[in-house]
Amino acid sequence: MYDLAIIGGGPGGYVAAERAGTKGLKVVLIEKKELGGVCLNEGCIPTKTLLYSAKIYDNAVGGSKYGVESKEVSFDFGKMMSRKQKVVKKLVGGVGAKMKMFNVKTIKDTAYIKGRTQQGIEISTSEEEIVAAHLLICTGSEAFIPPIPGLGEPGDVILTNREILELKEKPDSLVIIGGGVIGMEFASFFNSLGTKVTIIEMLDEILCGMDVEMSAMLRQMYAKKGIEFNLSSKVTKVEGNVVTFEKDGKETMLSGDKILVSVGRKPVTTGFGLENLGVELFRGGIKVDDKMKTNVPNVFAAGDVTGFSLLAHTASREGEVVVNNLCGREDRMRYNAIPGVVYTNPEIAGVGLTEEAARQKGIAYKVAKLPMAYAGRFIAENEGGSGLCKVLVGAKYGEVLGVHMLGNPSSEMIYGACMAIEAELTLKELEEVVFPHPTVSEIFKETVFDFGHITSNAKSTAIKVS
Amino acid sequence: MPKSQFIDPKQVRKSGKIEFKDIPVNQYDKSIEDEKVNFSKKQFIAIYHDMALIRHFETMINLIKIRGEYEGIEYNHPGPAHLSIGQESAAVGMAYHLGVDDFIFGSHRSHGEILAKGMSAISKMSDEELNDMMKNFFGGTILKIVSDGHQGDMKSLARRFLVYGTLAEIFARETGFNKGLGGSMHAFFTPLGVYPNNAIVGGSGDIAVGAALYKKVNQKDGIVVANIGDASMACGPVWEGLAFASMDQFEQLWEGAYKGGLPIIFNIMNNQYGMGGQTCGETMGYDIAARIGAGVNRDSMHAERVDGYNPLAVIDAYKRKMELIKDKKGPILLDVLTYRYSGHSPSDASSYRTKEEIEAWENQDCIVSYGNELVKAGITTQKELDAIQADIVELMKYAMTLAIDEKVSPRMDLEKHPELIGDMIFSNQSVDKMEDRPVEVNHPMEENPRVQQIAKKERYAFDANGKPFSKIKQYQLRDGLFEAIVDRFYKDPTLVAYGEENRDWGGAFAVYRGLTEALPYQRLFNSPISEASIIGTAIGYAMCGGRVIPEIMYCDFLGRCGDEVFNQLPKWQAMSGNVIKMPVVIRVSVGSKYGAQHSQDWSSLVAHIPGLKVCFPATPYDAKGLMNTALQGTDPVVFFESQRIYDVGEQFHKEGVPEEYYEIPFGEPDIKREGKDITILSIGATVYRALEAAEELESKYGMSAEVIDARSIVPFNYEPVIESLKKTGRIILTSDANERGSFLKDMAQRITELAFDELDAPPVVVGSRNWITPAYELEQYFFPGKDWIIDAIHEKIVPLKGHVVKNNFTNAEIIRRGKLGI
Ligand SMILES: Cc1cc2nc3c(=O)[nH]c(=O)nc-3n(C[C@H](O)[C@H](O)[C@H](O)COP(=O)(O)OP(=O)(O)OC[C@H]3O[C@@H](n4cnc5c(N)ncnc54)[C@H](O)[C@@H]3O)c2cc1C
Ligand SMILES: Cc1ncc(C[n+]2csc(CCOP(=O)(O)OP(=O)(O)O)c2C)c(N)n1
Ligand SMILES: [Mg+2]
Repeated sequence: MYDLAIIGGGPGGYVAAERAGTKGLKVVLIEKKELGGVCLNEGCIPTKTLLYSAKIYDNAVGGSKYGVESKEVSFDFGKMMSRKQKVVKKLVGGVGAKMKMFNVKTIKDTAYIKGRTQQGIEISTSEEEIVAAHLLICTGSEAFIPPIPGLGEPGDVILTNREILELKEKPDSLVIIGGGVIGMEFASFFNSLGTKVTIIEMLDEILCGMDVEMSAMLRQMYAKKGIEFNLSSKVTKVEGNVVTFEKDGKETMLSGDKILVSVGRKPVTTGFGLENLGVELFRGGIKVDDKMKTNVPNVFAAGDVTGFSLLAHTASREGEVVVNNLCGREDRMRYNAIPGVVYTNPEIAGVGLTEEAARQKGIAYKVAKLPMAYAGRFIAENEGGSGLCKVLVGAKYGEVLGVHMLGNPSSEMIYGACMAIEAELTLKELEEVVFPHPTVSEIFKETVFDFGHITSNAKSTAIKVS
Repeated sequence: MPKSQFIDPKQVRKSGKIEFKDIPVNQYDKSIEDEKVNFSKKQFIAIYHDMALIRHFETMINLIKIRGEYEGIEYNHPGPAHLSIGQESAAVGMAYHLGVDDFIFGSHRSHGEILAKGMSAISKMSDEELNDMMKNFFGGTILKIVSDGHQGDMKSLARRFLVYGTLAEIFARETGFNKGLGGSMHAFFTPLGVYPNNAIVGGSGDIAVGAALYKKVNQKDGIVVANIGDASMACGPVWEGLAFASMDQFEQLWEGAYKGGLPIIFNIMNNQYGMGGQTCGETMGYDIAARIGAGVNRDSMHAERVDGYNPLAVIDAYKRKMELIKDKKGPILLDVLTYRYSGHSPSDASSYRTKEEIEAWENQDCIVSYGNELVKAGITTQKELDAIQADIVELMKYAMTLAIDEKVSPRMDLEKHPELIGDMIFSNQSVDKMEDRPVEVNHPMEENPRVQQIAKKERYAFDANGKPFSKIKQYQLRDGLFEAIVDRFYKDPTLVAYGEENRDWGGAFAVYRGLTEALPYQRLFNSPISEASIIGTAIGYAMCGGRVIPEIMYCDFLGRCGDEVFNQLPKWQAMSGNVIKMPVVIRVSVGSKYGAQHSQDWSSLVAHIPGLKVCFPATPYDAKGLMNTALQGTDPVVFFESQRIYDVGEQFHKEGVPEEYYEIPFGEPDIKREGKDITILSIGATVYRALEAAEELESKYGMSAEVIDARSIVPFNYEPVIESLKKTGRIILTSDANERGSFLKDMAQRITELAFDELDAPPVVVGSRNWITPAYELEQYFFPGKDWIIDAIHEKIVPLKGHVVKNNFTNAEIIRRGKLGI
């Protein structure tokens, strides 16, 4: 009898297993493929590894701006890919080691839930018939292939994140259906390597959910670098290498060596006996409350399988909420301080409310924004680069509601803003925080102080109350 | 089931047939000439006067309703007015022989009966009595108004008093007979023997029987008349009233002065219609309503149809029937044929009858025909009659002018005294006995076998070493109830108790064991299986001045007396302007083990109704103390008991349940176990499960729970709960009532409102499922248990380390159930 059985070894599952193991719970983690899930094996880690290779290449090519001349700069696609594989392997191995260290029993097999009895929840695997008091479902998500004529299962031409990470050669041209985070990161990578990249996006802007102003700025930067963007465009048909899309009633055909489908993710809720528990779904994902409880007692879900906030760090935190409550520590999931990062070059990072979301929710806010150039270090390290930092605070109390940044290395700086929101810091309190100098992160502090200028210089910032 | 009555199979299996006595129909055939021996001129004229008084009164209201004007006086009366134009002879005939000690009950259409009975009583009272009556009523307020400028004798003053008081009541004035809280449909005036008129059709059908019971048990003079409509003869409570009133035991088992039938006449004011439904020919099958008597008892209730269009025919019938009552031959059924020309109410377009029909009756108008007969017989002249009419019109104008004068006849000033009505909902008195006279009992209390048996019991459940005594040795909850009740039986001579299987059997759950030995029949008896009349009669009994404990064997049967519990019992104290007191303690037993129709805790339904006090003790100490309080009070109490715990011993009062009398005030919750981490508030028998949960919380999770027993829920003092919350910051509420709409929800809301800042988590309610109660073997899935409480705490309030829940308290499940209505 286990205290906790976890299905799925992604960042939702393995982090929960580690935390529960630390607390002395008897835990079993069942993963059918590799520990680390999508994130380690075909998501966050491999993409970031490749993007780093691309960034080095970009820097080498553009080094002369900084007075560094490199002759005959080139790249080896195969080497990039094998390095990525090495990194993944290392990290996956690390997860396995941790599981051992914290006495988490791991089973490499597909789990199948048989149901609930007086004894507990019964799960069968080829290795063991499991009975557990509690079950945490972290089966994650997989790429969603929309029902577009001609768009079948991924293969030689049609790729998802999984196949594209296994390419042997750099394609000459790449059509990307869906200009979200995943689409843009792959676009960035292949653009750096010289692939002709075309993006077809149904909405009127890329990177839905991020700060719209920054998304547009990023798009313009990439347009300059040669990516072709087709916004408000709906793919109607795919025939071989040819993608047909419709924009303003006009049909256009495009072809690419490869076609990447990155229109969204679909929670994995079938094929493992979920129905035997009678777990309720909501919009395709498992319905949970703020303690990650499903409708079935002792059954929890965390991560992508819930169908929202599809991020690795969300998954981990959700798993931790479950473990905390099991261990008698009251804990509730909060989504107001979850950061989101786009690892393009430059990066976009944001946390909390965007202006668009605040307006939509009718939250009264004030906003201040400054160009990244206000931070000396940014100028020093980003020759000819530009960027933006935006801070939203509540109109009444000045509590931080959202922080958004475009420019490197915003992915590394944003956690400061996460802490500010999580701790419900106000402008006044932030003003008293000391930032290291010179760092790009000082832009956050500068923007905070810019609220003080709003009254004297209304030009740079607007007060929005809706 | 008295042993004295032997059911002999030889006897009852014999063949034979039932023969019915003939039921006379309209057999009165005397002329005025014949009646001259029975009536003086004054009496003949008084009959005419009273009919005309009603006619003008009703016509006045009709004109006010229809035209907003009477004799040049303008007024708008938005409230109801069910008039009885055409029925005057029936009312006056009914009332003619009745004096102030005779009580009438009525319906929505009873203005005429109030005036007729009032006038009849006045005519029989001395000036001194009249003066006292008027002077003592509401401190002489009405008397002061009507005596202003009055010239004439005491009787004419009393007539003014009667008309004004009734009219002011109809117009909802504080100077009305019921402070304006009764209004047209419920106006009444007990000092003249006019008891509540009821806007619930048939409502008087069982209440009036209770009044007759009161007269019999307390050996009071007078009879009771239940004025009910012909259409009300379809109502359950009326039939139940008939069943109760005609029980064989009155004749066969009650002894001495108590032997014999109840002094009651069911007087059907048969105007041949409901609202629009025609009783003969359409909505009923009795053809002639008097036929019903044949089905009720051996005497066919001495039923008779009387021509109610002739006042003398009705008076004649009453004379004969009152003789029968004197011989203890009640109950009696009179079918008094009449007709109303006026609509059911002023909005009635009479679409259900023809003009010809109305005209045909108008052509035989009871007042005109009677007047003509008097003139023809040389008793009076048309001129004299016209003068009577003119005088009445003056009286009406006078009463109308006064009754609508905001200065003389203001409405209750709820601006100045916002809680005037609130203060009337309960009478909150403390009264040892409702009447001071010796009690009728069979032996001194010490000789009672149950009293002797209880004397040997252990009044605290545990011995010196904390070991529980055997169940039979323990003083049980049922003993606590018994002690309080028997004590009151020896104090209050008016106290009676009845219900199903109360005598001999000792009540289905042995609370009354021993009472049969102590009490004569009239104080403790078995009722028919007739919950509506068990409660309805209790209401009538209390209205007249008695104290009563009716018993509802299973809470589930409360639906059977829904109207009595929801509409009658809680309302009449306030609707009377606090003239009436309602010392009724309904014992209601909440069942278990018997499935869907024998296991429900409906305390929440009862608590929802303003005007009822509700308690639910769970320990012998609380049961005795609360029962004492209930029986000392003057308010209706619904006293819940649980069959799960009749046999529990006293586990909390180490000194044991006191032998002497003590009271536990209603509304004060009791801390049954002290704690500091979480509060568990329980209603009823769940307190023991709450205590088990507290035990486990302590031992397994180191959480210290404070268990509070609500004890009563109306009234309820939230302060001790809030105090507890200041320590614990968390609360879970539990009872056996099904969770949706349970009173716990009300409490949870109140607690949230009053102690939001103290709360670390929302109050959580653990009730039974919104299902049918399954069989005993499955009850653990239905009723809250110890593990439900712990699960709910873990899931909804604070996670308990290592706890594995068994029951589903997830939000998603709660939403799902909500969507499905389960
Ligand atoms: C290309 C790409 C890039 C991304 N980049 C980022 C990023 O930079 N930052 C970020 O925060 N997020 C990123 N994400 C999202 C991130 O990968 C997911 O949010 C995260 O992996 C979700 O974790 P999870 O534990 O819920 O599920 P997953 O990681 O999807 O893991 C689920 C696991 O469950 C296993 N499983 C399923 N069913 C069974 C079964 N019946 N029995 C046993 N095992 C089973 C699967 O094999 C899988 O390993 C990226 C995603 C993609 C696709
Ligand atoms: C329980 C109940 N049902 C229905 C009504 C509505 N209602 C008021 S009076 C009436 C007709 C009653 O007829 P009857 O008893 O013959 O008295 P009448 O009005 O003829 O005097 C009805 C249906 C009511 N007041 N109470
Ligand atoms: Mg009628």
